[in-house]
Amino acid sequence: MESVVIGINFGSSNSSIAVLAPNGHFNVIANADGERMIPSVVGFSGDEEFSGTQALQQAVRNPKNTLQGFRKLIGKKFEEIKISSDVTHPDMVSKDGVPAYKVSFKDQEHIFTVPAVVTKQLKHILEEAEAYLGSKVTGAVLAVPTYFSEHQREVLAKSAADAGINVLQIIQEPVAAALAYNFGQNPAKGDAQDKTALVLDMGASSFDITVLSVRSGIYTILETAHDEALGGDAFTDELVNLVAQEFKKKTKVDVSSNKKALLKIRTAAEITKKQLARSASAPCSVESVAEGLDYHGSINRLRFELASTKLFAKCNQLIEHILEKSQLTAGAIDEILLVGGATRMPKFQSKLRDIFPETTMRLDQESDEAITVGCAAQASLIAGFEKEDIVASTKENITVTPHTVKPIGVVGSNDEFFTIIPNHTPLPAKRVFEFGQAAAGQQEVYFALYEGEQDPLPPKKEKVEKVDIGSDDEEEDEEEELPAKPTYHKTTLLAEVVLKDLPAGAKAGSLHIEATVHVDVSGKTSITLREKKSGKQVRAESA
Amino acid sequence: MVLDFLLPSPPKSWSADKTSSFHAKITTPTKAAIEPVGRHFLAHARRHIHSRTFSEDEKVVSEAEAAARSAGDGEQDNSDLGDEPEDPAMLRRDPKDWKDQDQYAVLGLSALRYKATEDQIRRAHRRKVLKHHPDKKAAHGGLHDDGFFKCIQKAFETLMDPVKRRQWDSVDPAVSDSIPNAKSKSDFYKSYGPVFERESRFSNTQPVPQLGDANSAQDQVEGFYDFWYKFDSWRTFEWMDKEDGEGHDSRDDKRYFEKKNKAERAKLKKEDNARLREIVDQALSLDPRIKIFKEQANKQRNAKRREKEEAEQRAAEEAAAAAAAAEAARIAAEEAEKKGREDGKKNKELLKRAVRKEKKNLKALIKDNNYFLPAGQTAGPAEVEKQLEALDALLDGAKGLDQLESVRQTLEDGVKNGNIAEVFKAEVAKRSA
Repeated sequence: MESVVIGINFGSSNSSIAVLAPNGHFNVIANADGERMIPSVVGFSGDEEFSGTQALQQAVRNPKNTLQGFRKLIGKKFEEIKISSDVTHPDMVSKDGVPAYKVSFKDQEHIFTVPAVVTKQLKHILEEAEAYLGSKVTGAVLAVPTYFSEHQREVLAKSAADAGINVLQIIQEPVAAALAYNFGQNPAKGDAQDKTALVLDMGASSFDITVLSVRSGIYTILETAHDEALGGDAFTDELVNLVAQEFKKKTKVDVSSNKKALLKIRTAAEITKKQLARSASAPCSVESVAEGLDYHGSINRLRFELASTKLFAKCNQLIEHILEKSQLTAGAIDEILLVGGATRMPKFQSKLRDIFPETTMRLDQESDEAITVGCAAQASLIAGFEKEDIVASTKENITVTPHTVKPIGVVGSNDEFFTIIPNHTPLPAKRVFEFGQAAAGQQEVYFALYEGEQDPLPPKKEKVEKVDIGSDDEEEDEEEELPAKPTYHKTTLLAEVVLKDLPAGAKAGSLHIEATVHVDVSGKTSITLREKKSGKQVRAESA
Repeated sequence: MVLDFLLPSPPKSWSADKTSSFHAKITTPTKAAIEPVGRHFLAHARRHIHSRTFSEDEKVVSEAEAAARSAGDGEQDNSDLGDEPEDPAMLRRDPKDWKDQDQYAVLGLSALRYKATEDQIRRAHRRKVLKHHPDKKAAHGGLHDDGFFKCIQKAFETLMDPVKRRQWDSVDPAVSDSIPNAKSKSDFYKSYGPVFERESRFSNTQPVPQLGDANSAQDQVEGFYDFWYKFDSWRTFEWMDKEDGEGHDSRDDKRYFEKKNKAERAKLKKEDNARLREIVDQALSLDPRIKIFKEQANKQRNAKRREKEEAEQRAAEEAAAAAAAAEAARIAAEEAEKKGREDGKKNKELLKRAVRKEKKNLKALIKDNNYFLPAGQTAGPAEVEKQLEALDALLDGAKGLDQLESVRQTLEDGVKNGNIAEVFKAEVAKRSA
């Protein structure tokens, strides 16, 4: 049977599905309602059970029987979770220690555990995918946040299996995104072999940052940080507050404690927020907010951004925190990969630009579809393998491997350090690179391999918060503070190798010496020098 | 990765016999998890599971790829295209002179030429493109030289366009136009067979009858020459047209060139027709079968003539014999007639005498029998008259002697039986009816 594999991003607010299209691109597919983003919502109304778009549509009318945000409850115990019980949230009970929702369905009280609800949502996703593809889905790759525990992954895998999904693999969200951006996956084609990326994933309900290094196409997560309160929803909340204040100003009706009214405003504000990402101002209309009064207004982007200053500051703090934790300067980040719809906010991106003036900011992938696409890419990559082989390859004996601690490199004529194998490189590692020859008629070349160390970071200047915006001095100051690329110096001489008897009488630059450095799992080093034209070579291996 | 600095000579302290020395180990690596994602990780896992080194793994993978590729190639069998070496001079050709290039050789189809099918051309083109695409060359460190690639494209264009291909095939210098030497002693079929096969390609009507061999039937051979004398050729000489140069864009110049080209084409066409005619003439004159057929025809004709002569002779003899017989018969007949005429006179008289005698006998019979009246009745003249009239009628009806004799016999029988009257009446009625 032909394998039909999909990538599923089961997000806490939205889910999406991607497949490999015949043209070699990965397509995010639309559900029956024409939405590429399928809300992660399950709802019960009367005799009917809804999932996705339809469940969200009836959420305002039926908040008690509409289940949202259940992803973060996966694998949690009832005691661990925070329960907000009011009219806008469904009631929660404990069922054998597992959190469960109490809903009325078919005029009866039903109790659905979190895994059961997850199964319902995943089943809905699978049905949408199969309806679109017109064939059975033979396998899927799912993504989870980096902070998901092993237990949480297992619960998710079981729920997915209950939904009829053959889970090929569960991968980390930032890694899936990196795969979608093709980050460091083509080391041969002019793309640097070794890079470090900052994956910024701001979805609806959380902000996850990951420092991801790629070494010859292999990813290693160096550092992660996340803020569960910071996300698109938090920004929407600010907008809701703005609208509520305005509504109060206009109508003298206070809705700040009217949950239903706030929900209505929220639905409208969500749309307004998305429009503000593209235009400088956007209208916001809510019918019958409270006491039969409507709200019609327009929100200016600047106003929204000023209202969200605190949130943006929080983002910056989190980014600076992770850089500090991973001992990286902003200049050491080669690429920024944006994931999640909220990263589309222009202010978010311009703030990033302030911190990373030199770094490539990748915008070539729809940010809210990156994870899905990455899952689909991984799914199509492993579709041909046996399930056991996939499981075997993700076992610790393969995935946990020694990494270099310090960079290994060579030293140029004025003591400049060139990194060949950077730190955080999984072993075994092999690098091939090329040199020119020193001088005309030279018949012996000398190659020395060193271990290096990063030069101490420049002392961090305390940034003075300036109140006046747009002053020229500030820009100049920032230019001075340009975060430099990290530099290294040699510390230890590891090995020396000499290639002798090169062809006599060669002109300067006519010979090309190729050096191959290989470091195995135990740290044993071997060096091969080869003259490309004559094939003359020497190989040396450490004891 | 290319590092843009140069390797120095060994330092002075370096002892000449050493090639390498290791001083320190790298800082102890720390364990960390790598992400099991992406094809590079798969390669890592593969190396780990099979405990292969990088170069071993590369080798295994490239072998597997090569096997997969060759398996894929298996679907497209290019063995019919052959594998001809590329002339280095051809590779250096200037694509501007594409009109003069050997369109088939460029695609590696020199062996097939006009016999190449469209599919073969397509496959040959694909094969050449894969080899000579400028990107491919650049990837192998070659110059960005797409000269030959352009040649390939031009050749492909030419050969895929049916009109242009005919134009090219018409003037393909690699296919000979020669006429076999008429005085050559070589085998007729071997030397002319390929010539006709070669010329067949120009025929508008296909299939073209071929020369055949010594065993071909006469009607086939005759049909063959008949076809070739009426040969309808599509051969055209547009390819040889002189280009009207870039400068000559005036209408008059164009017309001049057009006219010249047209005249040239017509001339070449005429020459070609004459050439073909010569080939056919020559073949006909040398064809051993035709000689045999001629001899056979001669023999047949002679045989026929002889037969005819014999038949004529026989007929003449028969006619003479018949004439003699007829003469004899005529003489005999004449004599017989003379004799018969004399005999007839005598007979008539005898007959008349007999009839008269018979009639007399009958009259006597009537008279003797009392004119058939009942006995005792005397016959009045009226009765006699009536009976005699009846007798006359009877005698009139009964012609000839034998009839009269039979009448008399009947009547005599009637006399004997006594009912002569009734017999007479019946006889009269019968004879006079």
